[in-house]
Amino acid sequence: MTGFQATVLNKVRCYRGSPTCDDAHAALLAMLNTLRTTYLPAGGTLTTSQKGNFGEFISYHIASAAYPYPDHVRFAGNALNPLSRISGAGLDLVYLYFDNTNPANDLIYIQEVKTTGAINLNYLDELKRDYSKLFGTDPQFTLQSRIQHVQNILEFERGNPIAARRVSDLASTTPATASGVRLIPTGISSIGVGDPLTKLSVIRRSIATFGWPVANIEPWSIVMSDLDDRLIRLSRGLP
Amino acid sequence: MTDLPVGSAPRFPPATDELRRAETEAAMMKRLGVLDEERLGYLLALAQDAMVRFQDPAAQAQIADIHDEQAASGLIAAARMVHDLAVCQSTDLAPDVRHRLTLLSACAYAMYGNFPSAAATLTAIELTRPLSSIEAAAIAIAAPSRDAITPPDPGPARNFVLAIRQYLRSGRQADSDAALQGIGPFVLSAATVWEGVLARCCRTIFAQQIVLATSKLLRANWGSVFHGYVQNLLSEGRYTLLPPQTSLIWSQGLLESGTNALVTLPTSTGKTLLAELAIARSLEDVGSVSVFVAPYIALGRQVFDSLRTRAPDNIEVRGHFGTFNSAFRSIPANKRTILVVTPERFDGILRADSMLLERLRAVVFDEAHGLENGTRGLRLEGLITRLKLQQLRYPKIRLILLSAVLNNGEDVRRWLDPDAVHYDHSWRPTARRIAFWHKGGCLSWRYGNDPLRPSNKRALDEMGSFSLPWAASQTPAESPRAVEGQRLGALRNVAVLALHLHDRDPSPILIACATRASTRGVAKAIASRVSIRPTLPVTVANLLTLIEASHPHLRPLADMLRHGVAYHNASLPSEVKYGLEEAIKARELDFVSATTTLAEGVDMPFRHTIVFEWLVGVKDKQAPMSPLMFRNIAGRCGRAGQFVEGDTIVYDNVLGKLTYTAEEVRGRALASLLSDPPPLVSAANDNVDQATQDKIEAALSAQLIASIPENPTVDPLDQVFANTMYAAIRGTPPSAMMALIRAELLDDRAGEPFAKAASPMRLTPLGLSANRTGFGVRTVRKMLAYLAEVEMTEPSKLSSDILLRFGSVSEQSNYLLRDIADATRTQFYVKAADLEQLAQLWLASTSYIEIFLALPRAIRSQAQVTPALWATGVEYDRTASQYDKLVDLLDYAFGSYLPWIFRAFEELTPHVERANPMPNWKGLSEQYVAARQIDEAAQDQALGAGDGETAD
Repeated sequence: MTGFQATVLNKVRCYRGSPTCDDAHAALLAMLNTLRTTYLPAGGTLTTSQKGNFGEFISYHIASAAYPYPDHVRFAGNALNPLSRISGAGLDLVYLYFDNTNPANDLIYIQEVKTTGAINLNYLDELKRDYSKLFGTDPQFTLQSRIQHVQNILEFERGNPIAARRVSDLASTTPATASGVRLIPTGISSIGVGDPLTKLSVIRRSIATFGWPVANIEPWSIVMSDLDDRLIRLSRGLP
Repeated sequence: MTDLPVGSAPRFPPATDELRRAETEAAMMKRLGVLDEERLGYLLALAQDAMVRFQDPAAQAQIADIHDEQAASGLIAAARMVHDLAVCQSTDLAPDVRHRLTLLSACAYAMYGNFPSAAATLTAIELTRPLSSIEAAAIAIAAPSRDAITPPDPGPARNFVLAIRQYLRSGRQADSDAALQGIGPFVLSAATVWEGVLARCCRTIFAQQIVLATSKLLRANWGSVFHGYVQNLLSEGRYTLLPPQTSLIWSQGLLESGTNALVTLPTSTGKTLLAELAIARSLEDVGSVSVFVAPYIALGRQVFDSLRTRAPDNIEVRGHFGTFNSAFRSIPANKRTILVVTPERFDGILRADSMLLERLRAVVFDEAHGLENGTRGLRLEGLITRLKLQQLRYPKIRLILLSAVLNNGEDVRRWLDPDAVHYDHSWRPTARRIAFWHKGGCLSWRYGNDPLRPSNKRALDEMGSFSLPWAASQTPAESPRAVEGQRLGALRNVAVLALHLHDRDPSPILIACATRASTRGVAKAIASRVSIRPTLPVTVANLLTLIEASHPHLRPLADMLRHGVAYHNASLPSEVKYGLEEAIKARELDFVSATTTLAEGVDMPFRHTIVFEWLVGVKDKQAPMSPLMFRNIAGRCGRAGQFVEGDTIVYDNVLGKLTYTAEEVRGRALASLLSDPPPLVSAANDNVDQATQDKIEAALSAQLIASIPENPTVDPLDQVFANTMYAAIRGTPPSAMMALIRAELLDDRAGEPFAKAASPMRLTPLGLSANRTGFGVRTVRKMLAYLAEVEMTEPSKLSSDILLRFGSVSEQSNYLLRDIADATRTQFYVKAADLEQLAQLWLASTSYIEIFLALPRAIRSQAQVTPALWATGVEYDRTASQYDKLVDLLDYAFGSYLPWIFRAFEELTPHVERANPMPNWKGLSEQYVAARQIDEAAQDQALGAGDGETAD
């Protein structure tokens, strides 16, 4: 159980606590305990990158159910160590789907996450910039680079060179031809702040203007009450 | 998951046309100054997509396959495109993004074994900036000669780099296996996506290093000399060979085989190193001698230096450069020896030491296509022919011919012998771009023979163009008056082009000129448009001091140097020339105009070459430079290891013979520069004028004389010789001419013959002496006649008489001396009556400038700027041209030709009966040589191998 439940509205998958945000909070805390997280001491505060890591942690937590083994292979980036003070550049969250019958149906999901406890949702606009980098000029962030890094993990860490080779076939030279790529722009915000559904719909259309087939963009909105406060409590291991 | 269906296996198909077009787009982006920011990401995506195909684990086992240019074309495109992005003019690219692109580009170059370009790319990386362990490792692995870089922190990256280094020094498989074990931990130590990308590249690069490692040569059982040579090569940091070198050594068996070989590789792909290795390989026997024959002294000097550095201590390396000279210190029988020689000196050595032939092993002829070049070519062809004949007696002689370009390699291979091997490879380390700057201002880049040319494009098709208006309009003209009237405009134009190119890419530019006057004019035109540098680099500052102290007539050059501009030609004093070359190597000069002395010679770091004058020769002999010469000049820019590309831009010069410059024909004439060189033909062609015919006969005569003692059992030698020449393979053997020469040798009507027909021919004592002179039969007869009547007189008077008497013989190759000897009316200050004075001053080691100012016509000159005024540094081109010619004449006549004649006289003296004592010819020869140290460029000039003739 993730503690979250999704509804799909205007092609945006909207996650909120189920039945309440406290249940989601509890599930997340249980997961952090499973990961043997070293919590912040009382009075400790979150850095910006730790806050981002927490957003990834929450997204990954949900994705574990959305993209479960054995059909999917997941890469957690910084998500499983949200209190790390280092945020490794680039990989973020990636999920692979290997089709058992036809490699042409293989998919790679790339999830970029923005987490904001602010009084508006402007920060979520950064998602557009993140996705523009997939076909940008910095080899630190391109789709090809991310795929190569995934290949390294599959080949050297998981001992699966065949999967590594199949992943390389998912790369492409333009968004329009990246038919095996799915984008999951994800905004995490406080309940009651702005209209995340509309915001992510707009972001979806904006990303499509880069050339991505709009059908391949599947935004998530994750909302929780008192988000900043919850993140602080989670970082201290508190319910 | 291992039971999932397998995706496509790695293959190395040629780059797609989409990729080729994108590469063109990237290449043109910076050249045309057109930047489409929207396209940059697409270009990077294409490049990375191409790179991925070469990173697959299965690809590592097939890594040598991508030493083929087309198989590697995807990676070549990727490397170039990423490099273009790294240096593009986009304002959106942050420094750290450019840093990453640069490093990625270097990795792409190294992934296909192009370590020189990887190293050149990495020169842009600031080593002071913080580097992650994997970034440091990537630099160390992509540029293995940069030992200074090692990941500082203990861990997988450092371990991997050190393990690779161990292998690169040992060549042992156990060491490469150990390094391979380090790849996994190294890759998994990547903390970011970017580091993961680099780590993945490094695996492919290491796979290349396993194949290309120089140290693998240590594992071959090719003798102690070879082993020592390779060890020294490694000590220099030469850890990898280039793909063509590896292919020729390991796949094609160049060093394993002892058969004759023709090696044709493009410029900058390491022919010379291969030849050095073949020489080192050949010296197994004590007393053996191998030879490297270099056409230019400057090139020979480079090889000499390199061999002397790399040869083990027990090998003697000797350099013998310059004109014909049979004086030779014999080679100790208990030593292994390498000779680096010019063809003329090698000819003399073979005649002087008859025991040398049986000790000969590898004999390498560099730039073997030179055999088509007039009488020098005939000497080369004669030498190879003689050695071919000797191979029947001494099978350990191995002939290795080197050439960058040969259209009919198969002919040359067959000539060497039916079992000879043609070693060939098309791989090139740097991109060569060709452009024309047309009248009207269109600067147009052409595909040329680039390996990435799209399938539907031809060599002359345009890659891109933009308008750069000429500063002065020009009209085709050939009359001296009309040419002179537009000359300043042409100089202004080329200055505009040079400045434009430098604005786009501030790297050194070479402007190739046909005449020394043009070198000065171009440099002056450019300097007048460039600001004075606020501070002067060290070498340039030293040059200024030197000029002011010793060469005041070069003050205009000093002024140019203050602007970062210079000219370089054979008239400059040696010390100034060397200073300029040092400044060029240190990249202290932005613009250098030069004649072919520099343009065809040694390696210098130029990024662009502008061909200012594409017509060469003077008056009626003016014609477009040969495709071979054009390629040589184009090869001067973008040297491997210094740059990743070189651009040659041909200025659409309309001044010159209208047969080529008229509007309706010029385009075709210019296009001929890019055409394939015609098939190599022998210079022994009888379809020439009488004067040329006489020169051919003299050259062949000298070669036949030399071959008589070398072939005591061959009969009829003249016909065997003719049929062994290259002319017999491509064309007609000069059988009739050789028969005539044979008859002349046997002719006893004028006294003792040169040879006797004792079936086979034997040289008489006179013939033996004539052989050591290097002259042909007719000239030797003329010398004998002269020696019989020569009177003792002052050396200078004697010299003058001799120059006039022998200034027209066929072996004499300087047109100025010939004109003087023939009393041809010319504008040249020096006349026959001046030669005695010149000889006096030469022997007194008087400076060139003082000799010039002492010429009667210089003293009487009513020129706008008199020679005396010019010598103080006032510019005047007509006077400067007179000075150029004088320097030519002095160096040739007194520095080379006269000593050669004196040595010949010394040899022939015993055959002359006379009552009076003979002058001391040997002493005179030594006096003339000792009077002045002639520099290499001037000696090349004397050999007929260097600087173009100065136009009247």
